[in-house]
Amino acid sequence: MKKTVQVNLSGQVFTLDEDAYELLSGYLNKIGRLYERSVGKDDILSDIESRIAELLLEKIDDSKSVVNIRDVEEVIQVMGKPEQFEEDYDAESDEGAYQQEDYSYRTKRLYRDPDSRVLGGVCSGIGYYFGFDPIWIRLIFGLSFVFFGTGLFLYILLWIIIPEARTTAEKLSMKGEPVNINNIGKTIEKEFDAFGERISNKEGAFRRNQGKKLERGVDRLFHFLAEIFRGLFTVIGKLFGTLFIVVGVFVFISLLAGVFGSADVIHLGSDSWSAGMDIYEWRDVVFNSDEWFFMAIVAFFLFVGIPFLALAYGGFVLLMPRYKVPYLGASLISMWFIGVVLAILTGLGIAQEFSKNESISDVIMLEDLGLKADTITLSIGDDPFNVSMKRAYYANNDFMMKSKDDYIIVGNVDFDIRKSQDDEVTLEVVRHANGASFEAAADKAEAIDYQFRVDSSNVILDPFFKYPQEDLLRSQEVSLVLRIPEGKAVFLDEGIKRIIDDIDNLQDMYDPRMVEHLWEMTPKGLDCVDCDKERRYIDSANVSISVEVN
Amino acid sequence: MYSILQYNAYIFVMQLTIMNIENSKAQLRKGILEFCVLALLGKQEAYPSDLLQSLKGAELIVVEGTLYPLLNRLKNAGLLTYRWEESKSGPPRKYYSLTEQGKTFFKELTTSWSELRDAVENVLETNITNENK
Repeated sequence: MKKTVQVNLSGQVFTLDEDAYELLSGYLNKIGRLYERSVGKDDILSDIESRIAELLLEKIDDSKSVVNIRDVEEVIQVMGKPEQFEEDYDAESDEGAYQQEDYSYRTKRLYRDPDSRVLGGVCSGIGYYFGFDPIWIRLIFGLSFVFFGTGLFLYILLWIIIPEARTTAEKLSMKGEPVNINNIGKTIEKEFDAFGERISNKEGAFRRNQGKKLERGVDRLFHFLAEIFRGLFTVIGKLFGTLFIVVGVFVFISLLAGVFGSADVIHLGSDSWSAGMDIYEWRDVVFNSDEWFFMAIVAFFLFVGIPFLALAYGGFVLLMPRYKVPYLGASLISMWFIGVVLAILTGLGIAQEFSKNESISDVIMLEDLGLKADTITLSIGDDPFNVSMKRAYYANNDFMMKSKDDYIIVGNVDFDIRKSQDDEVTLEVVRHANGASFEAAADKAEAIDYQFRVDSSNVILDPFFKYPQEDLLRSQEVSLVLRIPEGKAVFLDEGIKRIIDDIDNLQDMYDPRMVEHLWEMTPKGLDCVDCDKERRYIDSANVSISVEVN
Repeated sequence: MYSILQYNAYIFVMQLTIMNIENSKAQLRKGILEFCVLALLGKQEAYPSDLLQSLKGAELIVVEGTLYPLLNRLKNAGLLTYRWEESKSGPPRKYYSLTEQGKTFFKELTTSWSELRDAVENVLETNITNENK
């Protein structure tokens, strides 16, 4: 007993054996897929159906009313395989209106390539998809493994998301070659050749054999790891899926908030580590133009944000494998690569802006400005950042920055004391800046405004400098060197902690502890006059340094 | 009007010496097939099975399925049109015929064809006299 199916072909009713029906409907579906995107797909299909109806009519008569599988096979033989319909038409010779039809079965798909893989075949597959040599893709991934880590993340995700090309048809569509009898034949032939090679390798030199063995061992290990990985994910996949979605979406939204909100980008400490500028203030001081800033933001989003979006999508796929979005994986990768390129371009652009540097040094004779005393008291002027004394020493960093009235104020001044070569007390002010050219760097250095005040016994140094905002942040720095001759002494006010930078002294005292002491310049160097002799070389943490001067 | 056949025949002559013979045959057959379909329909309107009968007799077609996409292409190019007709012995038939555009195109092709045929024969003859094999 056999089950039969009734079908209607061009208005004719046929009774088919079930297997004959399966074969015929499979055949028609295949033709349908072949012409899926063609103009007049329905015309072609209905023409073919009516021809099939005609052919089948010849197969049945009063004594044989049911179409069996052999009849269908014969009809298909006459009609030909869908691949044969178009075998004479190749892309080069098809023009204009004729063109649309041949592409339907040439669509490339993204697969992992099991034949030339290093790890999971992800890079090789991507290489095929975009027509690059996989070595470049591997290089980019490799670099991002080492430098940023996001690549590793993305790689593992892609490994999970992208299916492996297992069948010959899948391998062909991975390479974007049309899936037809000819190509399948060629591919299988190639695989046989490779197989033959492997066999002859086995019989070949022992060392090569060993190499192959090792390679295969490593291969198997990775495969094993991959399988374990996949196994783990299928077991606790749902859990991870949820986690991925939550983390991915959360981080992505945080990135959005960081950019479009006005959160401080670098603001770790509260009052004193950094002045805290939001991303728009940074934009104003770093980037030449809004376009450039925009590019940097886009690069940042694509390069950092995309892996997290991919993570969320990966989670989604883990939860609901059925609802895979076609081409999303491929689009995410392309966007990420665009991000990589943009990041490199922006990086190079900014690096260019910093490529040359110039310093301007001014030496000021302090005695000309009225300084007379042998013991000079050093203190700092008003600090626009209001850093507390407790944290003053650590506040002397590049992030201590704010913009005000079209000026950028930087609370980072380096101060050193050295021995004068003659009898003069001098202050050397070195202003430094980078720029795209030496001229630009010099202009920017010249534009730096630094102030200090001198009277008969005091030198008051500002703990900040400023420069016009239009000059942009180009490593502007100010460093001060006070030179005093032998026999003269300085008293360091507590405020000097704010700017002190590695002053050599005979006691080898740590900078922030040097304040509130009197230091005399001796032939050997700066010597602490009022330090407890015993304490001089013991600089342990529990020693109090709050010594009053007499 | 741009002539596909002319182009294909030209390609054929150009490529005969450099490409493998199978491919060239396919190229030729493709152009010829379109030409022949137009020729048959130029004589009288026909439905696909009639066409297949004639084409198969002339060994111009290998599998029947090739014809349908071809008819569709020609129809989309505005060279063909069709009408439905009931049939006593089977499904309703689609009778194809040439449009005005198709007739003009066919005339042009016929001219190009005779020119090409002469040209190809010339080429073939000169080749034969020079051949040493």
